[in-house]
Amino acid sequence: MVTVGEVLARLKGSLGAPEADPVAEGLCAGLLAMPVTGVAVSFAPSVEVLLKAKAQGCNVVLADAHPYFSYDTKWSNLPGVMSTVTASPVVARKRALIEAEGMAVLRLRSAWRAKYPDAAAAALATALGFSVLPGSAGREFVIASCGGVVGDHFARVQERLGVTAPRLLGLARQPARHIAITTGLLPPSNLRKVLDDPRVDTVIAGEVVEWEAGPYMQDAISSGRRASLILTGYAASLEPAAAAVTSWASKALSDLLVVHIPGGSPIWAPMFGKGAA
Amino acid sequence: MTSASLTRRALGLAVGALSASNAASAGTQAKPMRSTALTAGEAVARIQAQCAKEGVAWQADGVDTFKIGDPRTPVRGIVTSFMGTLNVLKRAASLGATFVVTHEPVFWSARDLTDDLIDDPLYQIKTRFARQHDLVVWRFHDHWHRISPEPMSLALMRQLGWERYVDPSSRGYTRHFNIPPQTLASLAQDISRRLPTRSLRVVGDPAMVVTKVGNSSHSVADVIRMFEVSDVLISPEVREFETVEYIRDAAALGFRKAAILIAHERGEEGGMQVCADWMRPLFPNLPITFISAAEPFLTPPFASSAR
Repeated sequence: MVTVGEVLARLKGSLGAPEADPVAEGLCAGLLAMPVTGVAVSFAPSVEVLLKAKAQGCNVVLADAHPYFSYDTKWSNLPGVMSTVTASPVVARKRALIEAEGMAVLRLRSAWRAKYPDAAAAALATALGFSVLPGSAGREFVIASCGGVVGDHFARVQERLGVTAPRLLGLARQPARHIAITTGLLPPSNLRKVLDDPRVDTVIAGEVVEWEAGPYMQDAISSGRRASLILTGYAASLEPAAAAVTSWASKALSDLLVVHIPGGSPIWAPMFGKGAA
Repeated sequence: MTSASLTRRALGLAVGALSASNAASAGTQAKPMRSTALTAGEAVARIQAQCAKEGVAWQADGVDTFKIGDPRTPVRGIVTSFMGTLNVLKRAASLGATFVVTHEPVFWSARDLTDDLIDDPLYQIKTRFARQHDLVVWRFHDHWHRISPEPMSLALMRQLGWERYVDPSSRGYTRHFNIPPQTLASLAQDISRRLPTRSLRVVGDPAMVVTKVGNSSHSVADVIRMFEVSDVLISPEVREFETVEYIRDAAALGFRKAAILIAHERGEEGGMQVCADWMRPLFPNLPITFISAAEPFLTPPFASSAR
């Protein structure tokens, strides 16, 4: 019987590098000695995903997000954050659930991204139906040629990712010819790299800090750049990457059940989503 | 967007912009100002003195510093705004104002760090524009939040018409309210109309009946603390990978919790209108104008109907 520790070792061996942050990555819940019945991959090891995984015969979840909301060394290490999160009733109940169900949660986010820098963006592009132009290797974004107007691609995000509440910064009527696609939180430094390509008139990302890349994009537009930014939502931008991770992990764990369980986006808009019902 | 080919040294001489840390020293290299009018530096001293009168001691090591321009520049008019965007600077210049008070950063980071921006074309455009129009930009964030009653959330409360619902035990930015029972969907639509906002989003069960509403800051720790006294939070910008996932799991585990996500600008912009009013008695002879930084985002159905 393969243990959680052996699964972790095989995946790490396939990446050829240890996890960058051993506190928040690697084994995040469960025990290394636990026998593995199957591995489910998802953006987040949410309660819903954990229960679906168990129902499908998987007692290990491999995810981009942390089960106890400790996402990275920047935001989660702000003063008072981890102590408050750790002591919260939600974490206590989730911890008990994971223990009661005999499950484990693994994260190898940093190492996977280091090994495959453009893979998450490429996965999102594929999910959106774009053909990526050559030249994206080693970058965290990909470029695709497109047509129509920005609003068409906003609708494409809604339809293909199944999200009701993406956000648009820019003009829906503006023509779209070249689209840059990236995932997760877009920092201003990466947005600048994207806009350094004069062809790019549309950018798709997961989320922005609203005193960082948000106003950077506003300033780019005010300076005369004809470009728009579509934000899919953080989770929605990275669920296609979970599908890519599933394919990658299946090779290293060929003797185990490995499945992708999409978690969906919990965010809705009141006039267009569930609230309108 | 291509970077200009100016060298770091040449650009530093040309731009004449001041980072938070070097404002005073770089300011001494600029041409002497002989005007007897109130200077931006004197205006800030007046604001600092008023803060002290209201019990807010000045912390020199914070983010509330000069970001662009020479503090010795004469003030011909004052503009307040939520964000020091290029558009706000352009509108300030069109009014003839020379002193811009911004709540949030000018250079796209919490501390307005500029060391890595010297070759950034937008940094160059923004600082060049400010220099050409004698603009001085100063940030008023941390100390303004410490004024009592806390002005940003006060403005939001007034916009929502919720003064009568405020829980008497709550104060500061994280006020909470006891509202008449209504569904989360109904509350979200009501808030969307009252602010107004075109980018409101929600996490939680739309049919959930809510009565206790809190105002949260951006931190998941603050969100968790506010959930001790609230069913639903109004959250002007949270990190989705922490807070949204926390609320998703809270709901799945049986906690009746939800959040209404609004743009940071929608949650705090009104507070900079309050700031303009707060400053009028300090500068009775100067025009003081609040400029909306404008809500940056759209969500459906607005975007789709705009196609």
